[in-house]
Amino acid sequence: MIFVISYDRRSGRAEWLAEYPDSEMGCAQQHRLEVELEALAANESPEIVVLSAESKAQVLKTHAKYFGRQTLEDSLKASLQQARETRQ
Amino acid sequence: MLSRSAAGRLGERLRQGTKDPSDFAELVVYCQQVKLATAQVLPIVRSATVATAVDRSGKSFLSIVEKLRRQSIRLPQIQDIEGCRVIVDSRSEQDALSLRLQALLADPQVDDRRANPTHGYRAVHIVPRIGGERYEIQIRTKLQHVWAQLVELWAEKVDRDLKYGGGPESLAKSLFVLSEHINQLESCEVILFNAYTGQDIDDADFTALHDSLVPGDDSETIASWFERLEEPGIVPRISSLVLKLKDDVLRQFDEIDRAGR
Repeated sequence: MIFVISYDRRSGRAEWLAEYPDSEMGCAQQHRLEVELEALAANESPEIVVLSAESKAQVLKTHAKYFGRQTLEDSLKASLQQARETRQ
Repeated sequence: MLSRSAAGRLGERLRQGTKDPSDFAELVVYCQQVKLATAQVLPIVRSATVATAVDRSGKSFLSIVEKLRRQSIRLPQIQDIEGCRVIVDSRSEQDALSLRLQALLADPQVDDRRANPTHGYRAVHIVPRIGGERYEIQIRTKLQHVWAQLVELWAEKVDRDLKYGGGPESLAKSLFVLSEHINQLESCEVILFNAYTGQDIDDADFTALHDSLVPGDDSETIASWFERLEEPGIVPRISSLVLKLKDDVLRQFDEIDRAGR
């Protein structure tokens, strides 16, 4: 799957804008361009990313930030908790 | 199709803060061009590992513009316009995947940031070049990834310069120390793994382990250590060092967490 995601660094909020099948990368990139241009016109500067993965769960493992800052914090805490449990 | 010189000129306009929509449309064309040229890489990466590999199809415009402004490079020189990230369990797996990919990919440039980290950031980046375009494969261990995410988090919450060696001094130092501890821990784990499986021990891993066990003494050689690995008690000693380093890493995480509250 291809995911088009908007992430605002100031607020730490992420918005998953669309999902496309792997065969529609062109559509995903076109979508990304439209969102980038809208942001430009509004004088905003979010990060717009296009990620390709088998599932959202995979994206969570590698790019937790794009689920929002709170999810990133939770993910970090879970990793540390796991490390503590392994230690014991 | 955008020539390299046209891409270079586009990069210059982006660096100077263009707001022209046609420049951003051109940037999408350029990103797609890099994507097409390097499309064969991701399936190779996925065939080489059971670990998750997530592809980022086109760096965000914001990140591209920031990179052009931060570094004196041209747009065609940015090597992570296209790329993917793989998270593996351990340094041994990181080494194995790195070697597999070097054998499978064309003209791979290896950027090993474990011994030479960038502002504390450690990982192995493999950058093959296909049809003149580059694709960046980031291979991180779980701990290296946790560290990178932690920096990302604090960079956004406190100061973006933390990612580039700046920001509040005490926090930057704590993050740097944490990265060092993680490196020591992972080096020791590799040595233990190699000792148990009868494999060679890398110079850098040996140095990290030796500095932890006998700080300030660089008189011993790998060869003599190999012999000592046979001695009773040495492997358990390394094992307990690994546990101590794990505690150090966890304590450091806690300190950084407290500092940010």
